Amino acid sequence: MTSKQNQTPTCLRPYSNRRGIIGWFDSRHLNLERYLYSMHRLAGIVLVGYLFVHVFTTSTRLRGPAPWDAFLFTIENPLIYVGEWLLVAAVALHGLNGIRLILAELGLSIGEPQRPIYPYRPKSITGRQRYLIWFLMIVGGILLIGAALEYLVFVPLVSHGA
Amino acid sequence: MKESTLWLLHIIAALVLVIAIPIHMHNFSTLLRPLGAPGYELALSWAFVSSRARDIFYTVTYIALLGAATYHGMYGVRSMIYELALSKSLERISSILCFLAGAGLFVFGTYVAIAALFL
Repeated sequence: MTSKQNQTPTCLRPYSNRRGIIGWFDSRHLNLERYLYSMHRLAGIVLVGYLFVHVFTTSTRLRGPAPWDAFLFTIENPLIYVGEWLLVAAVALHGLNGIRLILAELGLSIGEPQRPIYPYRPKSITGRQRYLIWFLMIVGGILLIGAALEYLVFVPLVSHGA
Repeated sequence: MKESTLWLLHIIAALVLVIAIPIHMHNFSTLLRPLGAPGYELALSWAFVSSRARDIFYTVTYIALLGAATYHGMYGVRSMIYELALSKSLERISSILCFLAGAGLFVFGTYVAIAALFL
């Protein structure tokens, strides 16, 4: 190690992210918040991809009614309905977990800092934080059931008479 | 722009999306027909799509929603890339690519929303 590196404070040295993207999904010794972190990212990437696809496919309307109807014909199939349900799942997960993260960012759900006492259960991932997670999971579950009824029952059977 | 300002904008865009996306999606819900939603089939019909496209209220809200979604999404992707602890030059390149992709999408989406006013 050079003398220059010796002088650099630890907090300013380049951080070695050895686990990389694989680390997002390595669940060993991880808690519920870490699973939500990984799923939040995965859902975010899916939604960014969908945003591009959505803007480009809906631009078909500029070409008039016939191309629009042809586009609608292509999306009337069970795979798309399942995809739409999964999309709602991604939106629900990312949105509800995002609300939790914003509340934590504002310090509203993690409580005040406390002296670490054995067995070192940090207050930031217990108490109000956990209750909030369970509450948002229940809301997410209700949304998923509603979306399943919508895209897997009503749309295919009622709207299109399949 | 300072990183803290970019982060604050990311949070503000998220709050906009939390409110705007359910409103945007409710139009397509058959389950919410009793609450006044047009339902999946009607909302996607040409008559309904073109009438919404000609409404300046929808044009403005589409552009605002697109702006918030694009900024939030591309800043999120950039943050994930930064967490991989790449070299400074790769970070700069990824920032530029995220900016160009986001700007391209926003310009194209805005063009579509404005051009659709004349359908």
